[in-house]
Amino acid sequence: MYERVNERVSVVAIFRDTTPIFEPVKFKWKGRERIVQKVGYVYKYKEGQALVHVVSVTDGESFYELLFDSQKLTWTIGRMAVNDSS
Amino acid sequence: MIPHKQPWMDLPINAAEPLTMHVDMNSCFATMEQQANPLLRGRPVGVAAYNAPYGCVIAPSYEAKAKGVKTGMRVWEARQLCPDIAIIQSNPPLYRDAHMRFKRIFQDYSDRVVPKSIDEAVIDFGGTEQIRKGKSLVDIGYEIKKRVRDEIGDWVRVNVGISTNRFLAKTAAGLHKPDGLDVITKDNLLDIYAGMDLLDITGINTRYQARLMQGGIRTPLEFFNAPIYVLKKEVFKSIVGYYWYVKLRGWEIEDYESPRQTIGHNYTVQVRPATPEQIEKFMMKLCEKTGRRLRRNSYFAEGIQVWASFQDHTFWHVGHRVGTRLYTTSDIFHYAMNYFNERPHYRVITKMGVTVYDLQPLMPEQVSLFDGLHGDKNALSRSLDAVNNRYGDMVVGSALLMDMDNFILDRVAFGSVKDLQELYSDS
Repeated sequence: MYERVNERVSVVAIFRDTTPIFEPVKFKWKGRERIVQKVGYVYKYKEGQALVHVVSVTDGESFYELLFDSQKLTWTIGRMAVNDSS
Repeated sequence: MIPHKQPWMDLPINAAEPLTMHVDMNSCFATMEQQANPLLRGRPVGVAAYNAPYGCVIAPSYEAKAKGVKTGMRVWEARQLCPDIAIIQSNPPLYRDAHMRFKRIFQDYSDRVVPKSIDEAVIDFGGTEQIRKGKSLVDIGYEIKKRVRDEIGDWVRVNVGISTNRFLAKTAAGLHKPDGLDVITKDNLLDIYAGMDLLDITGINTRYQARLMQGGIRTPLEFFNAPIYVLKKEVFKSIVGYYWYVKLRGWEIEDYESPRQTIGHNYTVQVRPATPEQIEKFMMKLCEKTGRRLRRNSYFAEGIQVWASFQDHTFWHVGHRVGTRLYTTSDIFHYAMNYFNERPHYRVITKMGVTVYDLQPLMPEQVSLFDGLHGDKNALSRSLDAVNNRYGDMVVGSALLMDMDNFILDRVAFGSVKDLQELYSDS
């Protein structure tokens, strides 16, 4: 179902003074710009001392897990899945 | 408090104001996967420990349950029943995050919140400010439901049950899944029992059902009406009969938390047959996980059990008290491997595990004059744990653990409360 990607990605995100504090708006992956249609869930976990924020999003066609490493300030696509339901 | 009154068979239904609330999120792991990935909503989803034919479905979604998929089924069985099921490998950090949000909401209402598992909790409202202000528990229940949707996710639904004890509150929470809110009081208790089967009662499995049937008890109402001596002497043949007698009437009997008795870990072996070298690696990883959990909880153990189940559906185990303190991963591994080598080698292992028992709180120990390194080994273990906590799991560890990232994945105990304590200490 899910495919592990683990590739760096360019992301445009909004940082707000209200909740949700930050939200990716669009990202560019494999040369194509993808607009975030819906954010499913945002959570975080620790990898050693680094705090990784996981933002689960869809662009309407596929699902992506965007990982924001708060220590390195990088965005990565962790896992993705193509919508295979008819 | 249970009124102290004899004989017990006169114990009335608890008529107190219902102040115990049970909240649970059914199909928690599958629901959270659907919350995270909106493309999965409305589709049958099965969360499995491993996405392999012999992996176990640990949480089917409501849509999958409707097609007959049950918790505990193998992935291949689930696919046979429901070919369009999306099998997702479990994602513990997601569920832990949901659990923490879940708990934070409840703690806004009472300081007596007891998590029963990762997806259910009991809230005791006795003496809380909310109640003193005259707010109804039903209103609070609806408010909690709304907050769960707002603060955890719009796909997440919880069942709320309210009654005078934990048992009846849980029963109430199970009446109208997946989004129910029910109250059980002395006035509707017997009607509720009349609409249930024995197996609908929390804690009654097929084994207990058979015992009850043998005692002539065929329905929950008959169970309720059974005299205490029948339950104690004939059906359960132990104090358990008394516990049932009391809790069926809405009196609290479950507010005692037993101390932790074992720590362990297990692994479904995907490589079949696994080579002795692979088995040794798996065992090292299991011992490392067990050891870290033991040390995090500041225990040492005096007994160890290793076990395996085999492809021919047989089971083998051996356990011993070892006469020394088990604390470091290397000590646990030493004994585990020694005992595990006694297994029938000609059988193909499908699952293996290690459990340490006779847990004792770690106190400063008397260091033997002739074994000066023992204390140093313990301190070294704690230092290695600190390094791994800081820089990521298994940054430093036994060479046997190299290239083991894809084996023995992070797991979340969805039935156990004890491991949740580790969750809180990490947050």
